[in-house]
Amino acid sequence: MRALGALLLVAGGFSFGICALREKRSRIAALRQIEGMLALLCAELELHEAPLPEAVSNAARRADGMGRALLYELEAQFSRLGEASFAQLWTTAVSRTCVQLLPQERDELNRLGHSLGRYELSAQLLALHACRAFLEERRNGAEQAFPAERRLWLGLSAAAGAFLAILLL
Amino acid sequence: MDQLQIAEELLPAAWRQACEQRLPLGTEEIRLRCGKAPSYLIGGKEQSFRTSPVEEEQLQRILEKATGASMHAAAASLSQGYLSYRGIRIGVCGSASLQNGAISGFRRISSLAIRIPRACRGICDEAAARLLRDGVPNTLIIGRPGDGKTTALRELIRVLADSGLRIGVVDERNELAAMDASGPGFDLGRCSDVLTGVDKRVGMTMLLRGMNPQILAMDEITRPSDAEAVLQARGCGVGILASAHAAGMEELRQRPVYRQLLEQKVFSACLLIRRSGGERRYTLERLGS
Repeated sequence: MRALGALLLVAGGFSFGICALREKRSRIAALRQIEGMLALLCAELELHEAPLPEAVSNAARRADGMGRALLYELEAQFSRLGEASFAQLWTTAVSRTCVQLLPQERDELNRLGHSLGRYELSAQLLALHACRAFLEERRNGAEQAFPAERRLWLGLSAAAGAFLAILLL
Repeated sequence: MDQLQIAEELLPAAWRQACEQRLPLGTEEIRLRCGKAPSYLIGGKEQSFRTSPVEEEQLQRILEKATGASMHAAAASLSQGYLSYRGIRIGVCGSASLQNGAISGFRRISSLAIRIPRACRGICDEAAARLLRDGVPNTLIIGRPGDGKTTALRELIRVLADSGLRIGVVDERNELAAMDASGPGFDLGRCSDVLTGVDKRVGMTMLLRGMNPQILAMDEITRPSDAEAVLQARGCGVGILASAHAAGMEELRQRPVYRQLLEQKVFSACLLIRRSGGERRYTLERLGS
């Protein structure tokens, strides 16, 4: 019975580590989806010089996961344009959908909202490229750190479970 | 939704609440100047709203709404000093930013003039009847800014198109038809085909090639390229309806853009708009042949 209890405690600690890792993995996936969405938005603006509502609508249909959610949320907010500025609508959409991103990443996305739609096309494209490059760098960093973090988190969580088992038993 | 309501929608909610009621019918323009109280133009006179002075951020917000947060998509018209929003023309003033010598946008906005178009049925019935009787000669509508040239042109197009004449309309600024996603905001008659957002020269060629018009109609000939387009269209066997900024024929003759058109006798009739107080008079005159 005690052995079973100890085993359960170790397994509990281990699963806690797995949950933490899953969050990190989903953040990496979210960053990739946002990058993809920004690339689609870039293409819509650069190739078609589409008005933003049209560019957002077209890119939303082809984007994945969090990128798609962000654009759909923004599309739903467009009717409030005038009452709220585009930057405010964008920030609202980011805060509602990009929950898996870290605050610095959300801040960078929010900054993008101040350039989109407001300036000439070249300035908007520059802002999109800069934001995408920032997120790409963050994703690369997270991907490179992931194997080491996986070992660390699994080791730590299993050790914490074992320690708790020893302490209790 | 009428054009006045569309214009009102552009204004910040706080102003609309401050007004407590709708803008009076017959409002011709809404004038917004940074640091001054907003005002509206009615019967040729400006009256102020009783609200706080206009801030630049509010002007930016109006432009953002009018362009659908897409200043880049409106860059071409913005470089000429205006924007079109569902048939409403918004004149823009401020500090222009240049790119390769051309205006690419505005760094700062100082004033906006929101012009509210109207459909005035029946104002040109007499002139239209005379034009039809004379075989619809090439006609130029002449008036000063704000006299209602676009309104008169729109009404002439409607009456002539309803009489069965095929009219191709080059509506460069989308003011004649006020086309939006739900269709045209103004009735341009049974037999009219409208091309919006296209330069007059290109638009006329497209209509001539594709739509077999009997009459080509366009608003405000202002650039040399517009005059060239009219000269080109003249030799194609179609009638021409157009409008021009001027107080009268004498003033028009002094403008280089029109000199060639008048010397070559492109137009054989003109519809003069005279305004006294809130009243407008429309006089159709034959030009010497």
